[in-house]
Amino acid sequence: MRRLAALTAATALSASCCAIALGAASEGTAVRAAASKSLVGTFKLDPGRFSGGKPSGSYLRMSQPDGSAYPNPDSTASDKSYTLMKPGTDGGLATGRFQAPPSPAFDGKGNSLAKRIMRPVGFTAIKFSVYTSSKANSQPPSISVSGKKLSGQVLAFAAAWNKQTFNQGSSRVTGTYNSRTRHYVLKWTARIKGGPFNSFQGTWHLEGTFKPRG
Amino acid sequence: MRGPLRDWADLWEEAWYGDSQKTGMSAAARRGGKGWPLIVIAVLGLGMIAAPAIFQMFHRAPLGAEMIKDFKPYMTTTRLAGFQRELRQIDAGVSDTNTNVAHALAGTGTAAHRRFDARYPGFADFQDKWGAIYADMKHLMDTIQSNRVNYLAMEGLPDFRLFPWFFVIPGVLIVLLAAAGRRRAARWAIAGVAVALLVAPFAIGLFGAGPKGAKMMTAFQTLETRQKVQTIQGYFATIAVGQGTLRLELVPALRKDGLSTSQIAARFPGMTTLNDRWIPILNDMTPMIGTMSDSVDNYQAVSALPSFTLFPWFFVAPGLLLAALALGAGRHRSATSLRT
Repeated sequence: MRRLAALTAATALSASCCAIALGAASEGTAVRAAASKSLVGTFKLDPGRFSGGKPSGSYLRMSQPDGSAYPNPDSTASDKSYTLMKPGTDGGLATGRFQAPPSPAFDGKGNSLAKRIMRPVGFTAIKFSVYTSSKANSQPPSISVSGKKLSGQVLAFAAAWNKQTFNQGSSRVTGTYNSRTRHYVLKWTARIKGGPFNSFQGTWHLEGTFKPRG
Repeated sequence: MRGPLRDWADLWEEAWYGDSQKTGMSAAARRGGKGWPLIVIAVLGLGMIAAPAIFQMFHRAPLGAEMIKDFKPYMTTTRLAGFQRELRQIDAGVSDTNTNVAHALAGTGTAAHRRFDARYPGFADFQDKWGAIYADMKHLMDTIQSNRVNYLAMEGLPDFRLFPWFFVIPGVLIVLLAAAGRRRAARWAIAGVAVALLVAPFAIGLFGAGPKGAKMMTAFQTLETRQKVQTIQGYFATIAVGQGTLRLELVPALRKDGLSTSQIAARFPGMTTLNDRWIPILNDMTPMIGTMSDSVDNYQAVSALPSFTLFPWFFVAPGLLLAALALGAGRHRSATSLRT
């Protein structure tokens, strides 16, 4: 009888502990879910810089299939593997909407005319730029913040150069965010599929201040 | 008809019509008998239906069609001559820079040239590698150019996507006709299919184009590989850096030394041409490199098919066999009727 009572008490105690643990977990999940917030607006670009052997601001680094960096002789950085970006007419990358290229998208020499996200910049003598388009992906860029961490996707992001376009989107954008100053860093890599730069990889680093829409 | 040929014809006759043909039995009774020619015909038909699936032609043929289509813009004499000219322009630019420009900026002699290389390492690296790059790229362009005729022969064939059906459709017809039994009309229809199979390779030019296509596939074997394409991509990185040095460092250095644009053009025509032509060279060559890259998988798929040299025989061999089976009895029956 005593044993039965002890067993019953132990079972009841275990059940209570499980219930408390489950309750705490779901409450934590609810808290975490509540903290993840979509950032709709423009991630304004700080101009890219290269100083003291290090890049800062917004830039692209391209690497070849064997992993070695692809140098851009037109880069203003002393390390030519970094191509420095300058903000475009929209100030930077917008979430929740597309920033399509103009028509025509290139001039006669193959220079990209897209200028909303970044200003076209020389890449081996021909200017390249970037845009987001529903032709690249049906979803416009979306970035969320949870605490100080950013995550999201930029699947509609593409680069344009020499009358060709290259997919440079990703579903694994990461970064950091300061909710007080709205300073952010966004990073992702994307491997080019097809074309003359097949299997080359772009490493994108956007940095600046987030401006909410409205 | 005497001897072995008659013996064979008798066997064939007996198999097609049965022994009862000789005893003058009714048509219905004549439909008894071994019927092995019909079985062989049916098996041949089934083989023709199965062949495209066995060789994965439904998957590979469209890739071949895509490859042919993608290369079309580049396989013109103008375009190919243009690529060769662009390579020569790069070569002349490298040579001019490595000699005349280097002398102008750093002086003559080995020590002076070392100073030049140290000051402009991007060009030095380019110049160092250019000989091997030029040889390889020239070989690539020579190979493509020398196979233009072979490419055109392939391009002149019916759309590759139709090729699986060139086997399946006759195969289905053959099976259906074999199932129709030993009726005279079915036999003549089978003979018609046989003639069509024999004529088709000639009609579509397969005997001419097949060997040419095989030559082209062999020639491109070392070019249409992922490794080769990546090598060429690497070449462009080297060339771009070297050309960038010309454009962004050497020309400004010459200007700083007091030379005007026209003086630079007059004294260094090779370098000037390379600078002036660099963007058109990029406009022209990079899409071609892109097509080469995009065609690697397509090429591999097509090269997994049987050699194009054999393709005409994939029609002729079944055609001959069908013709022998369908027409053999007709000749013997005529000879038998005349004798009686």
